[in-house]
Amino acid sequence: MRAVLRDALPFAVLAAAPVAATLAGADWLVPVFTRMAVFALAAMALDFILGVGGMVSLGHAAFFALGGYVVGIGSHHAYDGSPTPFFGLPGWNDLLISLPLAFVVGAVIALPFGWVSLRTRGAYFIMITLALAQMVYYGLVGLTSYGGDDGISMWWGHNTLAGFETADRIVLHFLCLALLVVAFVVLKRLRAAPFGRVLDGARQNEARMRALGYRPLAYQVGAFAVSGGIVAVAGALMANVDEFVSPGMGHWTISGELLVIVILGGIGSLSGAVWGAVVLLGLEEGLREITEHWPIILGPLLVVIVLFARGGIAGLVARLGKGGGRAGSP
Amino acid sequence: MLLFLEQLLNGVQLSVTLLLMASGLTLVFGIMNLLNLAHGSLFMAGAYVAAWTTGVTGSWLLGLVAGAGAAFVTGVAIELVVMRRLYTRDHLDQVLATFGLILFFNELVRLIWGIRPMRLDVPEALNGFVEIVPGAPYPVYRLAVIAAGALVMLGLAWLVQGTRVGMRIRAGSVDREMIGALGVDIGRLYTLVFALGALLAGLAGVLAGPFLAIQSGMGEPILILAFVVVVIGGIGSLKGAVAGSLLVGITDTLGRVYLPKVSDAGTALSSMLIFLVMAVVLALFPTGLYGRKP
Amino acid sequence: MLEARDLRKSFGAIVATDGLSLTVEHGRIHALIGPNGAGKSTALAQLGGSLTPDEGQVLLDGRPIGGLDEASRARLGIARSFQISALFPEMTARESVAMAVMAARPHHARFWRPAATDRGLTDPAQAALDRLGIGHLAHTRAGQLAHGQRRLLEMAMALACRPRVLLLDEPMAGLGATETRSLTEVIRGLRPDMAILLVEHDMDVVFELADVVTVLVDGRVIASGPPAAIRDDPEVRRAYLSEGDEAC
Repeated sequence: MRAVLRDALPFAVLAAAPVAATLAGADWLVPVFTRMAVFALAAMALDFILGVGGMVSLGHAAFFALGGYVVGIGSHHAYDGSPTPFFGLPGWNDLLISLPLAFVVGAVIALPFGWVSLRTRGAYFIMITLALAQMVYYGLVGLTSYGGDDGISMWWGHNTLAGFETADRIVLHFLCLALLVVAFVVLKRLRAAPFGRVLDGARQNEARMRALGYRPLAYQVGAFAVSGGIVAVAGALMANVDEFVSPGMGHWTISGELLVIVILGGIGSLSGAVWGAVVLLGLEEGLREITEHWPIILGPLLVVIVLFARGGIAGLVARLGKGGGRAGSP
Repeated sequence: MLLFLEQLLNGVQLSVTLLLMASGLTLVFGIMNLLNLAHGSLFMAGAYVAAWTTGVTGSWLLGLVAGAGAAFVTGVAIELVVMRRLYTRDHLDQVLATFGLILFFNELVRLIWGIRPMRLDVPEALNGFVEIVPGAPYPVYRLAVIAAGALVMLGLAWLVQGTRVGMRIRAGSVDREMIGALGVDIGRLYTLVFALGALLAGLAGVLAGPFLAIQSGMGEPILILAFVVVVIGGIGSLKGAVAGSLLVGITDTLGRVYLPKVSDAGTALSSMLIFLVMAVVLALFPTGLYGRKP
Repeated sequence: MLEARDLRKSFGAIVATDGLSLTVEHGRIHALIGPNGAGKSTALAQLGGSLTPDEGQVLLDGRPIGGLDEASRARLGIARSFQISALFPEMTARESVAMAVMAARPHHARFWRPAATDRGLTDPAQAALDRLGIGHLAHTRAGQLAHGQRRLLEMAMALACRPRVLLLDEPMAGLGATETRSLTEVIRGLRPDMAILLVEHDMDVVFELADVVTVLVDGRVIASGPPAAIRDDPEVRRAYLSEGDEAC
């Protein structure tokens, strides 16, 4: 029961906060909370391969950007009525198309990325995922017909939802939150199912898994693809929140931030990613109020957290509440 | 043909920059098992301080010394304050802590020198062209960079292979306890190795300064290319770093010149080329060209 | 059942396996003994598939399986236990054995069902633990088990694979007298159901269990035959047993 409450609490916070902000007349704060939900979604997908599968990807920004471009490119063609370069198909501007499409694009690109990266482990894996994401970044910069460096500004507004305009920002927020909850339920279930057990076993002792008759690589590549797909969905949502996509979504610092969120929330806790996103993005917003040079405070703060406070916020909560759980496992 | 020769030399010159970066990364990784994302910040520190010093004093040579020196001092400082606490941590912790350092340094240069990019001009004495073959003028400075880089690398090879310090470094990478038993102060050795890597990164930043816009965040694209070099060459291998940087530097330069840019795909492909090369090398050699088999 | 034909394996200048041939029959325990560094573990690794021999063949039921990787051989029914316990430190004993049960059952069966509450997994896992006398440790994490208990868990995982061929790499290493006794009985009880290749240093155990003994020195077979014959073989005595009966 306690565990259920601990899992539910961060979602409840993200549900209540924008409502409270709107009632208090501060509805300009709503997108801030929506950003938190979107980053939580991406970080949770990263936590799935990191916490369960032991894969430290420093390249997940690539999938985030690809998801964004699925929305941006579709919306661009839908707006000006031109055919897309993909078999001359028309553009798309509805979430019912762009979200599943983002998942598919993210997962399909993540497959070869995962396979190449999983040729190795450890530090190599980190460097290779970083390099592959940089490749995507340069690739997007090279898309001059979609704005190149400047990206696509969707000044005509974000995607419709099943044909309805969703101009109200709070609707978009609850859509993001709903998808976050769905992702949590699915990933939690997947972790407990044989698929997740095999990933977990391979993280702890890959050689033993092979001796038992498993081929962990297939599971790992599969998990990497699922993770990439979910991150792309998060990117597609981000594009709708910002009504703007650019190669910057694929900048390597986004990958770094996602890792930071996972660590803050406690590795392997899944729901902790929500706390992580709330804290990191909240911290960024707060520091921005103090100084425009806020990274000069955030950077050293991260160093201090890594050096002296492993286990993240979820670990801290678990320790304080003696809740046990698997938060903070290495 | 002449264009090709010119571009080939440009490729070698990029290789030199990458090699200076990658050799520091690979030394630090091979010996202290540290994955240092902030290596690019040292590159940036070298470029900024050189540009600023040259601007103030008018002396390029002074800028070179100041830039490389600043990187060295920064290296010693972050080793003492942060890095040495990370040697025994896992790579994830190392990534996060050095990510924090990058945020700090990228903002620090903005705070000190503002957001406008700085420039470092080619030194007066090397500002000109020389005909390497008749009818093919080539910038003297670029040749000088290639020569300087080659000299530094020869010096590094001598240091590692032929001196007492180098012997300790190599021993340290094989067996930490043994070197401790030999009575070598391992902490000081690590600081020295890290600072040496920092010095090389700073030097790379100064030498490449005239080709780049000197701005916040300039270190990371080079860092990622250096990672590609290390991955291709094999972690911990200086020989691999040489082979990898030549492959990456030349492929990248020639790819940008010779791949057709008629469409989006062409433009995108030329900047993605080396990453595809990396993927192919990995598919064939999972531990890189000269990496130790696990 | 499992047969090695003329296996050779070198690491640089060191010849680890030099023309090894042996056959492990169903219902029999074949012991592989030899001094430290004789190449016993290397031989086991080549049979299990984690090492590829330079030359020679490995056959299962007369079919060559040399080209198959470790996982494929495991699925054909070759299970192994490791000399140094290779466990999942964060999993409980029962979860660990359930991994082995899951590997042995038809693939992707009940893909979506949480493994922890799937009785198709937990019941056989518990049974394997009970059989080795560590059923009461089902919910202890593998990383927290004592050394002897880890050895038994290692065995339980190998058994849960429902092997036809069991490769045991020094199962008694580090066990106390009582634990050795009971594990010996467990292995004896397995004999009718499978073929067992036993690498073991404890000569009392070897001569008590083995139907056939092969002696390996410097990667080469110097003798092979029934225990009584091996015990009296002068070359074996000179090369190996003279070092002391229980060379650990």
